[in-house]
Amino acid sequence: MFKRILSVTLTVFVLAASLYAQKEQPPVGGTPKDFKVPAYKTVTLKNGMKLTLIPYGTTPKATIRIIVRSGSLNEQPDQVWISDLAADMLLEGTKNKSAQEVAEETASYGGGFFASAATDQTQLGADVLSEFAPALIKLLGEVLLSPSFNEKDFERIKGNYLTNLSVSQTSPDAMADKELYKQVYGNHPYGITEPTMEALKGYTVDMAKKFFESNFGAKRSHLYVSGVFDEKAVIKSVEEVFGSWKEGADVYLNPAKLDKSKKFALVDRPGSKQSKIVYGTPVVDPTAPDYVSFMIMNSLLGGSFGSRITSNIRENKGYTYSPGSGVMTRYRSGFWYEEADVTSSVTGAALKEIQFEINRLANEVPSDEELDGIKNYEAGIFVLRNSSRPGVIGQIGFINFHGLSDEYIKTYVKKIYDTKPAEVSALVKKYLPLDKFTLVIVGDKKDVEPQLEGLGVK
Amino acid sequence: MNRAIKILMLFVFVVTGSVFAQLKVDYEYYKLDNGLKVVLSQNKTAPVVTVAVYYNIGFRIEPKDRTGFAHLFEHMMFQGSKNLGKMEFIKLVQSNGGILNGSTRFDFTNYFAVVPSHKLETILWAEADRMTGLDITQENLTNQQGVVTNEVKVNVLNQPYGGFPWLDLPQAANENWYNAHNFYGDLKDLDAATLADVKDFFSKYYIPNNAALVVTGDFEKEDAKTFIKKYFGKIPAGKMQPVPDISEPRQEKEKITVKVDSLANKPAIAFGYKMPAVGTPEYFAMGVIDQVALQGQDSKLYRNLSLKKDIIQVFTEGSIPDLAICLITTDQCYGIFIFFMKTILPPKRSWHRLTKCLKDSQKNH
Repeated sequence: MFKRILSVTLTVFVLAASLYAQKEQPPVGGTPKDFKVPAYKTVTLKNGMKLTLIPYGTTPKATIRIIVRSGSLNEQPDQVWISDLAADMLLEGTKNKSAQEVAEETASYGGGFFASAATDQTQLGADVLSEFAPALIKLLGEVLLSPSFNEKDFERIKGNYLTNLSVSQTSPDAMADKELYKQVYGNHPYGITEPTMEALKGYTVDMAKKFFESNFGAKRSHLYVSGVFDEKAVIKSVEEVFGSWKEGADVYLNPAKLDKSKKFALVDRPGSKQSKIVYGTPVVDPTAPDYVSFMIMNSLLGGSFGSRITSNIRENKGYTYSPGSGVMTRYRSGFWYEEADVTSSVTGAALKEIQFEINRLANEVPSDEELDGIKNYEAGIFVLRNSSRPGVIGQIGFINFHGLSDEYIKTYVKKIYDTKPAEVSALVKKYLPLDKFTLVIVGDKKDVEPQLEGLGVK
Repeated sequence: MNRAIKILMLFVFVVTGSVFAQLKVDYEYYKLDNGLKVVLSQNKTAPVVTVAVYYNIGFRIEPKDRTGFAHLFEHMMFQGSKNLGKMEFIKLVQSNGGILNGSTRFDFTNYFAVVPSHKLETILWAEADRMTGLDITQENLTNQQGVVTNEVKVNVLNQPYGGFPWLDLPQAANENWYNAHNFYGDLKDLDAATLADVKDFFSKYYIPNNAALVVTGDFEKEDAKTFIKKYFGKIPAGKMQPVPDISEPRQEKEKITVKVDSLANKPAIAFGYKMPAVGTPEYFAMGVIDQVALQGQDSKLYRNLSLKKDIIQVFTEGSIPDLAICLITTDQCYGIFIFFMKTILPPKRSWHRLTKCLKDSQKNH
């Protein structure tokens, strides 16, 4: 506070000094400790499957995750969600074990299996007591190499998805995602977030099985083990279990090409008490040289609790509870957006403030003090992100997915601190032109529409 | 379950003499002269520390004409204290590389920050500063009334199944107002809150003798003790408030409540059971029952409802709340918790089929 005032004018400084003289300043604390991302090693099996081992921490547990490059990216347009159904089917038992037996066995190792598919990857795994890591890997192998894919299980899971689909029609989040992804990704597989009810009803177990067989295999799979475990026993178990897995297809790449132009959609939700706003534009992806600086800019603008947009529309105006900005990253694409659920009557006012903050940062270079605070925050978050068993897997998985080297992790903190105030404003000017923004609103159309006049968003 | 136990025992036998060290959780409990309870727990895995303060006041015993006030007050703790103005607490934590948050529960409200370990003193100073006193303006109160109103909208009023069943079930199951009111707050009560209410609530409940301070992570205990004494030791103790009667009449019969949610397009069902008093052996037994009956794909309920009977979409949310905090503040823990599961019914499955199946599950075990 002091420093910033000092840099403005002497008059303000004198006033501030008398005002703040009685206030106690926080103690600065000690000297920072060294932080290094845990050392890890990666081995590749003959069939192309990769294994990364990350010894971490002292709690006698191991986190085991297999990440398979299979997701909605690999779906046919008439089989949306089949990747999710296929992932769920993997928890329904193997040729030799029922789902119940698999669940009980995993529980006896101190954990529970999960499986979930996303846009580009499907993950399976469990957290288990250290001594059971090799046994869990063996079970994981059985699950992946000989899943049962029974019709009865498939129909039950499909029933769940039909319920989910029906429920999602009423949720502002799902309604916004559906429209946003359509606007951002168009005809690319990322652009369709839901099947139609009719299409989903027609899905069969054979479709899921075929999807699984075409998309799962050694070349697309990477197993990660982090925590406390016996390295030799784990490697041995992986080789024994997965060594015989078919190579399968190569990783399929189909980067989305995002069109940077003004887009607008207002999804009518009559009687809605709030408007859900998503407002953004295509930007850099994690392989860009200025990506880290961009993330610093994002953190200052809207990505952290103390950020400018949050301070404005939450802490000053009280328009919303949980606003925030971020970058939706896919392979070789990025989309920056600010998202907020605001009281319906202030939809236009909130958008105006968001635009104001974007313009202000583009046109006025932030102070060293404000930027230094954000740099420290992001450097601290980097430590936190890498300070748990799943966290380190997430970090290493991130660089592997985007095809980045270890250098990304090693130089991350340095790049944070190298970012200059003028660069932050330049990044806003370069990447966040308001006349090329996409705006999606889910709200009561008759209330919201008149509020958008003069904002230049339509 | 039997089978699982057998498997487990077998492996326990096999791994006797395991090379892996046993889990040891380091901890030390003590109390300052002003009554503040302190818990230190060292773990040097990563160079971070967590500082958390728990105040023994939750939404259960908030003032009767101010539903939602305990939670609104939680927001006030970020709005300015003696030495830190609005946003300055948040910026202090962030600009030192940390994260922070708070939450309001049945019987306590907690605040925590996770920061790089060398910033321990900074955060202890800041937590002590807001325990010493708040400096809230009408403008800040009005602003947070707006924020909380939007929080209620985004989490409850504007969502299908909003607040279901965590807000609805206690209201339906309990008789005593303290256990049965709207904990998030009626919007008119939130609007009615005044600065005088804020001051009164702080002086009654936000006193060191009604709080517990927890420090975990990478730090030296002697340093922590010195800082804690320096910053928290000088805060005067306050007068402890009498605990209102929160007892609940014994429930003898099944209760069924129907709520119409115009945003939801599928029916959802939640079941709850009254819990034994916190800290009793029966309370911990319920923790085990929760695991056996509800949690995970190896649970009885999942097997009976989902796999065998083809009734689907079971979300279990066993509520065994606040175990750790109750262990350190046992003199003031209240029972009557609710234990529940919820399900969104698929089409063509009837309530009767589900309830029959639930009853069968109970009979069989």
